[in-house]
Amino acid sequence: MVLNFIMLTFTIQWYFLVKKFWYAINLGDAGNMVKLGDNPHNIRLSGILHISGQTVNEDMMYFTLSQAVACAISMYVILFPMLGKVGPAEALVICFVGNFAYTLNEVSFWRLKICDNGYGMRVFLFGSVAGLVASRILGNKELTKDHLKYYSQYYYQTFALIGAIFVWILLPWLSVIEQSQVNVVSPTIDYRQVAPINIIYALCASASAAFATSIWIRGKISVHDIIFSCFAVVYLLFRVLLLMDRVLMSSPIPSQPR
Amino acid sequence: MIGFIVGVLTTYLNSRKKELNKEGVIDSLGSLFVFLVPSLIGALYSAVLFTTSSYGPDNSSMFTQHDPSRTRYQQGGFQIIGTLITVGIAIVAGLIIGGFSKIFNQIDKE
Repeated sequence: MVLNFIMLTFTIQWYFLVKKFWYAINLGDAGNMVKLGDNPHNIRLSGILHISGQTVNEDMMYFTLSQAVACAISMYVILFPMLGKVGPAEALVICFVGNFAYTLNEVSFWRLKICDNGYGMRVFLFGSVAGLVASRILGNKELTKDHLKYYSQYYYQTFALIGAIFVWILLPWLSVIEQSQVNVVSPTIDYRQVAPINIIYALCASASAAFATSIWIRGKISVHDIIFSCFAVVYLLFRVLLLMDRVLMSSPIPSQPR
Repeated sequence: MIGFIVGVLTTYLNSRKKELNKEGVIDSLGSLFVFLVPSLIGALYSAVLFTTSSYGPDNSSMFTQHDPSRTRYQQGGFQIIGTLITVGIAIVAGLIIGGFSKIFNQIDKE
């Protein structure tokens, strides 16, 4: 818990400084729209703008707090494979170095105009690969396997069940918020209706498949399999969420005026 | 379909975690199966969607990161490039983080 707070507080501060560095050397801004002297006017809560009746997402043009929080989540994902064998010092190393890499990846996307709406590549792919590589280097086979600090097992299925309920309740409505912010301008489809339905459909299919596979492989139902599959499908869907809305809805729905 | 595939895949891979950590724990939380595999599938799937669906330069007004001058095949290719860039940067970052963390790590010293 303490480790999480250390990482969050450090990352939010360090993120803006590091990103400013990439912009200062003209790596992060393809159109030279953001000047170093513009600070702090280009720091915002989010990059969603309302310009002459239209809502546009200029997330990368500004330094936003939501990006900093996404960066902090990415640092957590780096930490996950190393849980149990790192302390506060290593957590700060993760934030210090990881922020540089995360922001470099982010500005590369902005420069190359690569679409990463759900932060799937920036947060989860980047974090998991970096964490696994770091854990592979850090891992001492002889010492960590039976080390007291590193001995982790799942004893309480109740916690996993709470996590699964959290995913089922929160994330579909999180997608509603996102869609209502970004895509409400569409004249043909009301994305606020479509996004949570897609998530719920996918969660149902994922949980059912996890139940069946868990019984098939383990011979019993494991709640951890259910929660892992739910999380996995949500990460995947957040990656392609905005694209999926267009694919799954073949018949347009008339949108309601705001 | 996506939910079914990911559900089966994640559960199957999660059951193999013990084998992954047989010679010493590498992946505490199952990041390989919970984060890496789904996000990699999602990244590749987004490239497929960009290439095959009607979504493309014509529908770029909501996504300012999208370049309207590109064809949808080019944008799909750039999505793949973005995946490779992410993996490359993450590997380098992981090497540096692992190297530095080894200096500060206390487990070996006990």
